[in-house]
Amino acid sequence: MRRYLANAAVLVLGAVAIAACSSGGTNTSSNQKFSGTTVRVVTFTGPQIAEPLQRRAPDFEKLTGAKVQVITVPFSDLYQKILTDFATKTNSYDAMVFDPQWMGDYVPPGYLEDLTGRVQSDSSLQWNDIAPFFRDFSATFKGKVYTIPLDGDFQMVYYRTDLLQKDGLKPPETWDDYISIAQHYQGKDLNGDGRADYGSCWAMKRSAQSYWMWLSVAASFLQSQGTKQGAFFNTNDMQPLTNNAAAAAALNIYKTLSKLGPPDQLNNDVGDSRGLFVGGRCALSLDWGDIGTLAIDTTQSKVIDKVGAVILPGSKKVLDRSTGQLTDCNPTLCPYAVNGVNHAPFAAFGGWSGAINKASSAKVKDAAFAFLSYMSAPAQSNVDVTIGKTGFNPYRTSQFSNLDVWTKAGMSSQAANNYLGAIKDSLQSPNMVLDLRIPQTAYYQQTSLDTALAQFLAGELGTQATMAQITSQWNKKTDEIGRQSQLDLYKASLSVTK
Amino acid sequence: MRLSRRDRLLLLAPLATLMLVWFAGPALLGLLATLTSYSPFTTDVRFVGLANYAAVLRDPQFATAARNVGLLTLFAVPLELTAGFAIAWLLRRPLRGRAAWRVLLLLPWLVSPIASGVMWHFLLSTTSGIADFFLGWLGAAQASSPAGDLHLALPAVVAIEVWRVAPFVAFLLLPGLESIPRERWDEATLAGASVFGRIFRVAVPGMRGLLLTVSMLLIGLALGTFDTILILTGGGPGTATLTPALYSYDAAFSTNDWPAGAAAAWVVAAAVFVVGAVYVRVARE
Repeated sequence: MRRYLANAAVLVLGAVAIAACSSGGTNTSSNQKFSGTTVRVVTFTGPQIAEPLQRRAPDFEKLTGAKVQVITVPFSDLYQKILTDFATKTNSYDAMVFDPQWMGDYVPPGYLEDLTGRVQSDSSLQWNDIAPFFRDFSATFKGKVYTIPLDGDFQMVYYRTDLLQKDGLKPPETWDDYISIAQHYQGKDLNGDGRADYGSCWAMKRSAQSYWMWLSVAASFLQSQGTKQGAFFNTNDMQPLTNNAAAAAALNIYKTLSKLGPPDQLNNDVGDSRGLFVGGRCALSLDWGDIGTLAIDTTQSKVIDKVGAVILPGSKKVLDRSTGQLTDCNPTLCPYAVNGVNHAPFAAFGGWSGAINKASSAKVKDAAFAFLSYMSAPAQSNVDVTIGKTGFNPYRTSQFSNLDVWTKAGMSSQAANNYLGAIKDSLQSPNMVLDLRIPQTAYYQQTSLDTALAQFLAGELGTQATMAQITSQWNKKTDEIGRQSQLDLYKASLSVTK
Repeated sequence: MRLSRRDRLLLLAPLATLMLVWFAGPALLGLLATLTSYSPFTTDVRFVGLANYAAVLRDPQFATAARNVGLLTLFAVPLELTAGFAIAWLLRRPLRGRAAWRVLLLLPWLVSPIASGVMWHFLLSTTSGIADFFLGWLGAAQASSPAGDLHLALPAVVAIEVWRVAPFVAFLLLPGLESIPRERWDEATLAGASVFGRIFRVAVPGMRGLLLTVSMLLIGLALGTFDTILILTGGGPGTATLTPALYSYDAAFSTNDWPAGAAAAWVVAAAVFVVGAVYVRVARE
């Protein structure tokens, strides 16, 4: 017995000595401050978005001791799963990485933690490195910060540099330029396989993501006075901006482009249009930042170093909201115009962002914030945004000022400069369009707008009937929910305080 | 051994319990939800009577969806029956590798409709499709995907459904065909009946009950067509392939209007019940 006790005493002393050494060596007590804490993070199945969270969770655990459980659900269920979890007070998720458009449904009932103080005091997050649009609009609701951006979603136009250079054409500045270039290349062989290719490839499928493409066209006609002006409703009376000469012009451009692409373009989703572009079959495309990184993916791209990007084309005429007519740009009407062209880069979707459940315990909220901050910090995100499979696109100033990460990822300096230049132009535009973020956004966009656009493209509705249908359905929904409350929330989403 | 009533009830009890908990319960809750303004996100639930049904039935989109599914049923079911019967007819005779053929033919049915939708999307796609690849290889002009054509999308869906369901129909009809007494075939042969004569004088009368059951099953399936279309066309182009089941899904999961989604689903269910009632009545006669 005595021998056992002596052995046990030696073991205990040894353990204490080892613990003391390791503690002194790595300062574990401070680094492991979330030891024993589990953070449940919900996002969509991906593999995009979930992949970087899952890949980096073990590293974060090593650094802080916090265990991060990434729960994934299909995208179509994500909004409802989170909302149901909040509303029923189940609170099975501590953090969520979601579409910031949903803040319109999650913030007013008080489900999300106010992160304003935390983001300001966290030096490792480098909050001010995040582009002003994402900081001040995308992450902010009613003047308070509720999300940490992990992704910068806005749309740009991609073009084939080799083709345009050969033919002495300039990248499109206006939508008329875009159509003209698309017409020039439609039906020509663009990849040397002897078959006819396409001027422009867009996603135009119903029940998918095509309504964002139309909004990208409409944006430059609808918004010219800066982000706070908004591009969806009149901020005086919540009347939809969907039945006027600007919307009609955007519809006509959309219809024209539906015929300057592959014959089954009406059934193409973004996966199809991206595949076509990086397969070398299109001269132009419209997409988020994804084409930039897919184009350097050696496993699928046939257009490596042949891709350029530009800010969304604009318009020389914009909507005069008092008359409903298009008016030539002038310094008063289009204060941010470049060479007389009003650009309105559209932050479609808004970029995946992380938020924290207000009902979680204080320690878990701290750990959840630390994890989101870790994911967004330049050390991690500046690498993740260069990897196509993450689904993350640039959103920090350092991401377009530091060429190294992009050249390391496989872009030539010229391509990187071009791609990052387009991102910079978009992110620095004071006229960037914020995507809709009010209660029942899903109805306004995914149901009403998407259906009407699909019917318009298919020829089931004419231009006037399409605009009338969208406007009538939007007004009906607004009145159903409450015009004043929707107006207040719309203005809050735009950070309009008056 | 003859089972007593009690034994039969005991054997049925586990399945009945599962059905009650996982099927009848949620279905009835869904039915109740259609009479209210229910939403899992709000505590303000009001009784609205039949307003949700009225809204669904007044919606021109639902009318289009009903017309589409009517056309789909009208064309797909006879084609599925005919093709399925033809396959069963070919397989009824001893054939080398018959068992393997039967398994192979079941594959389209065993593939989930979602996977089938994805597969056909890529097969038909103008730009990444196998069909287009081979046409290009042969130097032929490009083939436009029918799924992206306003007038061909619904016929394409019909064709895909026939491809998926006909082998399953054959699987169901084959035992019926084999169970027809040999003497009847012999009598028809002696009477000099042609192939069509044998089909209409021997096979169809001998399988009337089975054909009726399979027809009703196919009509029910066609009325609820959803998964393949969701992936293949999303209901487009325009509303060319929208079905009531897809309308119900959109209302519930895109618009988050659960009562409208459930009401549309119950309208589909009512149509299936009508088909079932007709079946029961005809079967009795």
